[in-house]
Amino acid sequence: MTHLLEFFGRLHPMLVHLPIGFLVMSFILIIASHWKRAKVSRSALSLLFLFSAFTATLSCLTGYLLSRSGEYNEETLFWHKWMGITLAAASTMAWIIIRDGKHTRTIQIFSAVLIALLLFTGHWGASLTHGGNYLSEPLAAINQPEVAPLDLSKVNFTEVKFYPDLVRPVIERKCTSCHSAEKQKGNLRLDNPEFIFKGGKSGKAVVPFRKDESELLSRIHIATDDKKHMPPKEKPALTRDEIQLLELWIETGADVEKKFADLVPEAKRQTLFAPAEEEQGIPDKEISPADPRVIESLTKQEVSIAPLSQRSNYLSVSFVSVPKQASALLKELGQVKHHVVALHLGGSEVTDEMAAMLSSFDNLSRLYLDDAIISDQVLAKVASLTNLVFLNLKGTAVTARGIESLKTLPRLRHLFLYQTKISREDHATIKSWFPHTIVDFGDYQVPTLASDTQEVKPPKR
Amino acid sequence: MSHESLEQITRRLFLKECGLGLGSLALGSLWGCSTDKPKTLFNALNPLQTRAPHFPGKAKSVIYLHMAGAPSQLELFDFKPELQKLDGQDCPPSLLEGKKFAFIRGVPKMLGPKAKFAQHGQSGAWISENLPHLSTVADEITFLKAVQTDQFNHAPAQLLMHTGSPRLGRPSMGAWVTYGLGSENNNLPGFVVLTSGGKNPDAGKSVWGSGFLPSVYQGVQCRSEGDPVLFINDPQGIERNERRASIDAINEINQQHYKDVGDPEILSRIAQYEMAYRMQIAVPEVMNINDEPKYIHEMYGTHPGKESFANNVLLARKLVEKGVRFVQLFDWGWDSHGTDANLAIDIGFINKCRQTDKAVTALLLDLKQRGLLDETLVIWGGEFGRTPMQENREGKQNPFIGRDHHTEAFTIWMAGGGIKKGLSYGETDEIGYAAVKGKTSTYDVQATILNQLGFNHEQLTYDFQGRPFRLTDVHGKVINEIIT
Repeated sequence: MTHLLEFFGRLHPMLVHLPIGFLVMSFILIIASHWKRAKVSRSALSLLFLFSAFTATLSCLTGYLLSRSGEYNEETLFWHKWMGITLAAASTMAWIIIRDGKHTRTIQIFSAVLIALLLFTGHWGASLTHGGNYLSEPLAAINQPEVAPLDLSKVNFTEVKFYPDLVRPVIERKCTSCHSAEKQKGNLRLDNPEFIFKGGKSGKAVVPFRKDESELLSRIHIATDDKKHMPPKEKPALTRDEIQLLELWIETGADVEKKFADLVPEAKRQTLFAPAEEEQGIPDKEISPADPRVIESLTKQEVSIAPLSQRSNYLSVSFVSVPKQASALLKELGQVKHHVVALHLGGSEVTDEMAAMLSSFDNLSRLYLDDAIISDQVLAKVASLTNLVFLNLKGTAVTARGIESLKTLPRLRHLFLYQTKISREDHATIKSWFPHTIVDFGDYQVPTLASDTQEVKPPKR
Repeated sequence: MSHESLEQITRRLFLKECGLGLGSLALGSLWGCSTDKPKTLFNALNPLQTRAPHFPGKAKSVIYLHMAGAPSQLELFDFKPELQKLDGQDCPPSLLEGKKFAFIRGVPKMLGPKAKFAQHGQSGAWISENLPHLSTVADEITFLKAVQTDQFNHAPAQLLMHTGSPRLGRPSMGAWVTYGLGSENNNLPGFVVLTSGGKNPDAGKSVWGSGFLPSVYQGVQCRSEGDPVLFINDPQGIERNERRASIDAINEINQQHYKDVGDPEILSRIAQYEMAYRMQIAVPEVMNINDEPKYIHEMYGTHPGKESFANNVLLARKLVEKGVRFVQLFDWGWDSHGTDANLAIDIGFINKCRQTDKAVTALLLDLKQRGLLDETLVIWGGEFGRTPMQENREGKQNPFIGRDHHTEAFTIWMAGGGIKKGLSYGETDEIGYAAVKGKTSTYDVQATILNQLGFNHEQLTYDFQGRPFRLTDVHGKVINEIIT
């Protein structure tokens, strides 16, 4: 039975539009007849008001059923409810008045009052479903700067407080639009610690120290196509850093006052928030499929060329089978230059002319030039590839001067410089040029230990 | 059936009885014809052409280091001080009731860890003194400490680990991956297998076979001693252009045969001839480690000219560098039962660690400095783990210290290829007997490997015998907790 009632309750958002339509229609007709634009019969108006009264009453009943779920802000609900009841009553009265006789003036005033009531009831009703600031949000954003995404590289971890400075901003950015004073989906509020620990319909949102019992985390980790996944598919997802932050906060006891540094040892933090490594540099912008004739022709010439995934039209290309033909093949590849995001030129000779061509591959994010025959001038051209995330120069003859021209690459995260012509003294300088990049000079050693070659022998009997 | 009863089945009877049987066979095959054409990624003319995965993969290639025989997690990664306290005591019946072991009979004694442990790196990973080199790169690795299997004998467990089924006939992981992704280098096989330790794995070549997938996806076993691939060199007196002419002639005949019978395996055959021709040049080149500089040999601890695990590890790096998709290493000799000195936890096992530790560590660091580690998934593990009890074969004490096969919890580690760094996932109980937290199965490991390469393991399928098959069968869950 309760399920059936809930079902009827959920008809409310649909039903409410009927009295809205009828009342607006009757208002238009009354105004039009007042200005002598139309002849409106009393019986037609009477019928409109009768239907308004009937559907408004029905809306009140279903609205009451819906309100029993308790997911709504009580104050707004109070006003919406009583306004709605008043509206239903007033519509009934309007019908009685118009049925009984010619009170043209009274009807005109009544109709205007009904429209006013309608606006208020409607506004509060909408606030209940969409949240109180739904309407004003885009306007408010006009003057406010956009909330910067969480950037852990800018956080001073020794000073900040864990909950107020790190966790709360994440929750405010990604959760409270549906879980706060304004709106409480699933009967859950996350706008202050008291409510966070209280939880919602599905249980406790946060259980200190217990990651596996905290509903907040299970909702984040559940498959994205699951209805239970939070934030819902259409809302901005949590980033990897944000998820790690929430996990760490719960794991360390979900303290709401202490400093981050008092709760998380420095060593642990370093292993957690490594520089943004997951950045793969796939452009957000969609692109139409590359010319299949170019792909076919290059494939025939032993080039490995394929889309990054079955849902992407961006291409990953490798000349690993034919490093010697790179020059001619690159020219042909130029026909799809906007599609190429990863290019493997390892072991090829890259002339200045080829480098000039390469600099027009504007979406290129991963460039493999390991063991390629290149000069510093080539790097000057590479420096114009602003989307470059990964650059492998291992085994090339580049020098520090060439590397310096790459300083301007804004998104570079990985730079490999093992076995280049860069002297050891320049390592520190080069690292200082790339504060957000993992620069790897390699030359790792595995010392030979005495035990490596010794054999353990069985005891003699 | 006895001879007499066989004699009763005459030709007439056979034909009479078979009426319905043959009819249904025909019906079945007609039925099969009428359904949709099986979905396949296989392109017979260019079977190893690079193909797009389901979603952008973090890893492009895989190096799987399989320690055949199953190394003891209790002497390497799973530190159990409580087990030391029980050392020498009778195993409590609760650990034996309803359980089956490969060799343990009656009541065995508990066996404390036979190695000293320490925490390493900023991640604080527990690694024993048996792996002094690997300890220095602990922060690159994620350990899965509660992997479970359901096979306690080597061959079925190895098959389960690599083909998703303990029985013969399924394609191996490397075959699935090359089927799904193709290979970047047209001059080399997409899936290479290298073995060491003096023996092939117990499961034999099926463990790198192609099962029902087209045979071009099976692993190509290369030898690290002598010619890498047998009979790859032209016989004396045959020039390269003569070889070309003979291959052209063979291909032409095969083409004609294909036109007559339409069997796609013939196209596979043609493609394989072509590949073999190119491999004649490319394989000896890439398989030759003598060109590597001295410091690289020292780093890996190689033994040029001999069959050695370290040589194979160096080769694995060279192959991946050249765009080979899947390199599978098997190193035999980790089956530490304690039946002889080579299989003793405190003798042969330590020697196996010493033979491999330096090379494995060098592999991770060498891949890293070459910019390959982020896109190469390295996996280390055995087919199962070993018991916290000392083995007592036939109920009698073994001559040396050893442990029996154990299915309920063992350790596998992964590094690179979009796997988190410096993480330990999963826990066993106080004595390392059972997995208690973060349990993972062999299917989960496979699902995770495919995920890192860009595949939804449930959608990488091949239609065979009327239904789609996949590596993880009906199991498997990606271990999201260990992925960056």
